[in-house]
Amino acid sequence: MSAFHSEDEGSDLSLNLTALMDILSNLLFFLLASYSAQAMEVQQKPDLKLPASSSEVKLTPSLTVTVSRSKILVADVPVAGVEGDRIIGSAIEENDNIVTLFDKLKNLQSTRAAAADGMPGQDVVLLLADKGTDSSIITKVLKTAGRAGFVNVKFGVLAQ
Amino acid sequence: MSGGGGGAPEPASPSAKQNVFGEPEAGSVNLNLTALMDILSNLLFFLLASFGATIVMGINASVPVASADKSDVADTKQSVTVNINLTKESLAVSAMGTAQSEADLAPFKKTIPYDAAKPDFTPLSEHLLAIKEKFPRSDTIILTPEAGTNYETLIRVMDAAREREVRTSFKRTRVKLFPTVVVSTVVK
Repeated sequence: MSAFHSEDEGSDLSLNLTALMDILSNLLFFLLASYSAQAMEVQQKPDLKLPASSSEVKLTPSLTVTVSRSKILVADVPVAGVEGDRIIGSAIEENDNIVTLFDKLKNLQSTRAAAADGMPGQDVVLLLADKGTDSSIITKVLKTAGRAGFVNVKFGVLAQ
Repeated sequence: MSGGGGGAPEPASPSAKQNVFGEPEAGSVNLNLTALMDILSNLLFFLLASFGATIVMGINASVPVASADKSDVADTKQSVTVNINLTKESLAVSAMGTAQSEADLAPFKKTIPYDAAKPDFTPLSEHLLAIKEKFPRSDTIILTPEAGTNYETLIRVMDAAREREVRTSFKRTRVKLFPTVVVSTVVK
């Protein structure tokens, strides 16, 4: 006999887990439902801190252009670098066209146009930019996207 | 379990326990839920951990497009297009419209200097509300950020221009100001 239990209390103790199972299942379904309800989420990166906004517009998946503190990416593929308020690693034309970005976007636009002719949302690009990015870089990216056929922009912001 | 009250005790034989169909009743079943609990807990922690990712919302905007038959500038008496020029020192607001005279639009031209090197969005929002009250069918702003201003300021200006909370004596209402945004650049 132990100090706390008598031997006849039994070593074969069976816990009734049914209530706990019920709670866990509820939580699981709630979380899965929330997953399908939310529009989009982005993993925080050290060189990409999005600005906060009071906007309540949900995002739909579209082509993403990211402007971080160090580079410009199209669908996670780097096309140019960023150094302060300058764009590096790509030629900039007189009309502010970022050549590598334009080529990439134009390519994607023609591929999309061939795949889904006339589908809505083909001219929309989602811009995720670091909050400290200089406006001159943002406007250059927007102008380039517009020239490549993406005239509508959704600015990705953190929900307040 | 005894169904009736009193009388002879039930026989000990298991064959005596029968269901309504006359089949022998199953004994109590003890399900071992430990493995399932393990799976569910893992799923739960995974989902909770994924919730750490940031939920992103959007602000719709467009870039100016050269077009022969369409203009971003308002062309009715009740609407104007507001132009906000973001510089490193101030926010310069002006209204444009083809159906108004310069004298009509002059009172809505305003420069809001930064407060301690930071933009002040409250007077901006108030000024935009005044424009909206005068020209209620307006919905478009053209933002022109100058080099040196940052992206966060651009977003904050869009927030201030989108809607404003107006308090009446009994309730608060949100008034839509200028939800349509066009981002432009300074012509060099």
